[in-house]
Amino acid sequence: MFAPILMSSGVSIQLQAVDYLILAVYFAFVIGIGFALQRHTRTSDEFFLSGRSLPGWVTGLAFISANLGAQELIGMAASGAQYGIMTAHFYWVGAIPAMVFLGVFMMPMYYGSKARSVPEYLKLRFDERTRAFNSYSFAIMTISSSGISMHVLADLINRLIGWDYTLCLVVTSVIILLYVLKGGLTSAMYTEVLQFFMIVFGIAPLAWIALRDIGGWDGLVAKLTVTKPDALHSWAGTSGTENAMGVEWYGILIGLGFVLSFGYWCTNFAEVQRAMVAKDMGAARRTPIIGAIPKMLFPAVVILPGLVAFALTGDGQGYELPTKDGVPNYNQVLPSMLLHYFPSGMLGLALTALMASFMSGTAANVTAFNTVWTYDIYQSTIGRGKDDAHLLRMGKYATVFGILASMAFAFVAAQYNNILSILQLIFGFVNAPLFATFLLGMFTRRSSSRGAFTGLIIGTFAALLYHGFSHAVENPLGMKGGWLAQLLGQPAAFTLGTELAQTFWLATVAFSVTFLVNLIVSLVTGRDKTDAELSGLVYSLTPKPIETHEPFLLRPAVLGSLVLVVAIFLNWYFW
Amino acid sequence: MDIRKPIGQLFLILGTILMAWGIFGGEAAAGKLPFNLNLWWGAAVFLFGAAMTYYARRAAAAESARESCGTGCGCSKSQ
Repeated sequence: MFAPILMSSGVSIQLQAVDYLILAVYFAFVIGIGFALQRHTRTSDEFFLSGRSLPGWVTGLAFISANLGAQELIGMAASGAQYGIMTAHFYWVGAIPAMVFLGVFMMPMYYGSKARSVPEYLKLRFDERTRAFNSYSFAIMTISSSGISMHVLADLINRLIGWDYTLCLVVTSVIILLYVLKGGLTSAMYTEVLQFFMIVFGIAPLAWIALRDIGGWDGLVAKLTVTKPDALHSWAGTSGTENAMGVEWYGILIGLGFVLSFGYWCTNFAEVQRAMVAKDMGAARRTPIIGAIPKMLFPAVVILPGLVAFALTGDGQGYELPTKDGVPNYNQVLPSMLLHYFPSGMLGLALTALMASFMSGTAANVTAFNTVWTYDIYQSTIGRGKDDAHLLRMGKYATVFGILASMAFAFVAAQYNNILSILQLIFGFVNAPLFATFLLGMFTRRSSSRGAFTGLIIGTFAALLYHGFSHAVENPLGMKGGWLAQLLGQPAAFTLGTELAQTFWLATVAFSVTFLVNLIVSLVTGRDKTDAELSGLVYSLTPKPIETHEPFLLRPAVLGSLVLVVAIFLNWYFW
Repeated sequence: MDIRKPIGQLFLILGTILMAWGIFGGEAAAGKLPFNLNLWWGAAVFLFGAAMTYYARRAAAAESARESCGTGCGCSKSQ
């Protein structure tokens, strides 16, 4: 009999041969795709930019899959159990509007300027030092993100199947290395598309089976109305901080819905890169909007199982939340649910989907890293004037280095446990000031190079200061906030209800300071680029893309509006 | 390379494995569910693989038809 063994440290499983077979088939395909693409990957343009030849549905699915790494599957199921439907804010508020905005308003400049990366756009719009600042901070951020992704994967496999942690890191790294070195960005993006479908087929049945077990949607509502009515609403408790996230509605709208999400989706090169390599302007602009469609529905796949898991727990029969030292261990929600419901075979499919998502999350970061390293750091400094074959070689070295550095970071990440907060903390530091810079740079002519650079430096510094003097109630002063206050032996100046609230406000402070400093310095010192120099880089000086030849429903503004209407409906329905 | 081709092949294989396991796997494949999840979901996965393969082939056929017509054969190049 195949029985799950629940241990105090979490969950562990015994895989059958069929599960290993499914895993092996998937890995063989991923590596096979890399080798099949080898002959299409001979120039640096093909390696870093897929030769700008991919259709919109491929770039669109890769766009959301690139983000489906460590953050999502485990973290969202965990938040679903912990916070309930409020977790959907990360989708309907924290992703969809930003994705539509990127497609409709920002892609004309990103794609039209033929910049090969986000930092390169900054170089064209502002100057070399703004690009350098963004390149280095981005390089550090991608390595840490992919390191966290690797760590979560190795840790999960270690706990679930009992494989050695280091061995897991090495095996997954070698597979990623093989297909990225062979097929470059194209094979990373093709694998992301493959992974998207793996997740749909591997994880989606869980939500359905779990719902069935609790008596359908009505059964879930009936149960939660008694035990945790908060969990059924996304907005109802947000007039104050008396809700699961500890954030008011305006904190959610500004912090998550505007600063964090626009900062992440519109400026993070690991995402934007997927749209930049589409085959034409229409496909580039549709990329994030096509991605937004499945993204909107993903809460049903990733959050719902967590919600059901919470509702099922407590009656002493059937599924129970795993615990650690007497408190619920939310990060184990998804694996324990899979284990509880799936027989072997399906379990292999789900586990493969999990591994696929972590690996492609890592690969997405590594492919963004090698591009930024080669084009924005190497070619703009010591590698000036090198030929194409040299740059291609450099890109491959950067890939190897990126993966080794990620592994090193994975060992560092092993000391932390709340992945989501750390990732968002990093994004709060890096992306919020960057988004303020882009907003002014893309939509006003007045923002100058001096304003942009000063704004970025002071905004990032302000974020550090705020982080150093604020902390969440649940955390003592220290690395997670308030370290400066602790250093000076003072109480924290700001105390927030939850870590999430702290992250939202951190991002908002970083954004506002950057925005104001940029604006003031630019206005005082005056413009340093003419309208002609800014043509194609600033919205008002960029010719509007012609879209009359496209089918009406596929025009970015039309498709984007439709997506927004559905997102608003979802917010209203799950109020 | 058309990505639909490897996606189609992968899911055809995975669907076949799941269905075979659902039929021949006995108790281990049944688990605690009252229905044969491996068999039915395997069929769904297989169908998806078949659909992807079909579209990949159709696109490849259209592509080769375009290429073989070349120049001056009278077929419209604007298609």
